[in-house]
Amino acid sequence: MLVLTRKLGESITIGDDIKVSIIEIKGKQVRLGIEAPQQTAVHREEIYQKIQEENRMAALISPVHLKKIGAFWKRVQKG
Amino acid sequence: MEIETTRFGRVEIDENLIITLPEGMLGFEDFKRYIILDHFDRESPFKWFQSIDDPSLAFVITDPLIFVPDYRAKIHTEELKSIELSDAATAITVVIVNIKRDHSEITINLQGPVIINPEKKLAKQAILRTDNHAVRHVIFSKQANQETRGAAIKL
Repeated sequence: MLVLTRKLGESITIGDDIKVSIIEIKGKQVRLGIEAPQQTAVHREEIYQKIQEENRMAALISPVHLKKIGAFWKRVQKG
Repeated sequence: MEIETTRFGRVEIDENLIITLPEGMLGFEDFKRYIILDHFDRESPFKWFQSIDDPSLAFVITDPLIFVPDYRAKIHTEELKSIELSDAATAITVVIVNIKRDHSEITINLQGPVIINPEKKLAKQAILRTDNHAVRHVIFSKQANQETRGAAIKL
């Protein structure tokens, strides 16, 4: 991993079109400004991980589980 | 063609209905081809999103608008280049359904919807930038109070 030291207001560039700037430093928190093309998805890592984890859980659903879900649906419709 | 599935055995599918996710699902990037299967009951809003490449891989999907009528997956068209979607209005948005192991809660993932281009049969799991969508939006809870239940029944 490349490690760089930057001061407040400084930035780094990644490739031709991505720029990451240090906007604010407050104790243990750093605010980053990210300029990237629209097609580049930029997300907090934990959002990625959360959705990956959720997908892994969802992939364990069996037809038995879905029957339960179906039963719930019928109840809702009757209600 | 016939495909092998862990849950349903061998299933005959129409090859023309195969949906390709060039980037795969998050956490399952190696598997790119899926097919939507009905589950016993055709009327059910829940369908299976079955992997063609891995017999054991399948997700339950549903139409989010049934449960959250004002749900809008706002995604920049540029982000949807990989599924060749030029007009976002033609896209079909589905969400992944999850069920708690103790069956006490059924949730849908509103933060990571799957956007399908029905013409090109291409799809992508998107991550919405806004933080106001839940990864686990509860659509059914055994512990739900009367009020929540009432709202669910209004469907």
